Amino acid sequence: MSERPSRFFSLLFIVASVGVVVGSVVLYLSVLRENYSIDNAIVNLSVSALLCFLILLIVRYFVMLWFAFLGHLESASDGEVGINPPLVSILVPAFNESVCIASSIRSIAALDYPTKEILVIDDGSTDDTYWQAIEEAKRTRGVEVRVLSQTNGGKASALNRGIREARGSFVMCVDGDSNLAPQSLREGMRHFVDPTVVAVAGNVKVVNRRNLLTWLQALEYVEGLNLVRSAQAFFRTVNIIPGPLGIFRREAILEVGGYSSATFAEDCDLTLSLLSRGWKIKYEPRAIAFTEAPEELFPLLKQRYRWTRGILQALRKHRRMLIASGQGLGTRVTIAYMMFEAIIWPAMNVFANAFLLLIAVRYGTTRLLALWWLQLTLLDAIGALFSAAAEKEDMRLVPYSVVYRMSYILLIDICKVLATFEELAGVRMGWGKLERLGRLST
Amino acid sequence: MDLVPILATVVLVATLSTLVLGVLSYMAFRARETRRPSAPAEAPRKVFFVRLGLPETEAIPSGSLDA
Repeated sequence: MSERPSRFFSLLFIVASVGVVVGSVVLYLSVLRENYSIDNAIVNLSVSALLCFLILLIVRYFVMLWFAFLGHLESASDGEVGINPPLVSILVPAFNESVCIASSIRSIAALDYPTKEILVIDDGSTDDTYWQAIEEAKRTRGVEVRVLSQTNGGKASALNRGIREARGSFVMCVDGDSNLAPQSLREGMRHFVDPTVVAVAGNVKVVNRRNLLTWLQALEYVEGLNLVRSAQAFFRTVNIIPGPLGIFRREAILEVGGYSSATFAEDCDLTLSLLSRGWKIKYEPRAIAFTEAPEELFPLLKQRYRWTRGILQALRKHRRMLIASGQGLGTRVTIAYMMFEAIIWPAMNVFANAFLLLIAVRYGTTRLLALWWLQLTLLDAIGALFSAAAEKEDMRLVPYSVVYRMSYILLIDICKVLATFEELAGVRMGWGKLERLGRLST
Repeated sequence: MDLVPILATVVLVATLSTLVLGVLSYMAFRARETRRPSAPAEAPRKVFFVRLGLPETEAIPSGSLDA
């Protein structure tokens, strides 16, 4: 059995819950005491609507916090893999990953799991990824490493090739630019003791915390995974199995037809396909993939642009899940929540900030803008504290929640909103591969 | 000292600059992406038919260079 959450963590959960409630009530009382002199009915109505939306967000946070806590407790109590665990084929699709492929293979070979094979699928790289992988395969002892090569067909095609060639009844899909923590596979495989679980999503951590932008991304990952994904895991309806680490029953992937190239978010697409069958997906916080985050603004925008449009494409593809008969309540809630997160919330956040800014300038109601920020920052800070404690993460992440809400999330949401417009307008897009800096190997 | 107006001003300035920066950086990013060739340069097309011209004879009727 995995390590149970500490008393400190449980105590922190209670403090966080009380903090959300008390902080919100205090802030609301302070707003009600204010006497605004706005003589425009539409503006007054909009302000009221935004404040209602804020209350909705607080409820959302509170519910999330509660189920995330339950998810953490439950995750720790799942079984153990036996002494003779099933063979797992680890698939590493790689396109121009010469900088980090060797380090990635090394970290996979070092996984604390006895029965595994590694398949590197070079997806027609134009650099020496293939030869780097071959060299590393020759150096690797104690585990079979196969390096396959194919003409460039995209990540989905490379993964499907790996699934076809895999000998294991389980496959673990990882990115060629990620490194894994040694316990990742063992911890992830524990959940398959339950025969109804078809996939387990891993935890992704930013490894290159070198500047403000990467620290903010690290906070975003830690908070997003420990709040949202842990809460989803409690209901076995995790909605995205991340590219850097996902473990699947091979049969389940084959049953839904493998990865699809129809969207730019093949991981989200596959996850929704699995969920649409009513299958269960869990999250394992101790199955960790370390990944390199963009260190500059343009590569970050490029990444988020692709994610946003990819998720929207996947949502459009699976939109029937929301209304189709035979879908469970959990699946419907999951897809509705994804639509909220992908479309409504970014738009609302950008609109709220722009609107509150305008009326602050026009009517001098600067305090409303400050309230909006303060309320969300309070939630973020509490979420960050809870998440960092849940994972025994670096507590230096918590103060970043101040800048996180003030600038970072707004910046990301602007990108999401504009990318959404482009998706709706059908603007053509390419894969937009990020340049890796090789931080993992240093 | 009332801290709220100071905080409010900081939030106001930060929000305004982020909104401007967000929109401008997105536009710059998209402009750069649009200018960048999305695929490697096309390989020279194979020529299956070459127009031959014989001196003092009629030129061979031209056809498509594509097979």
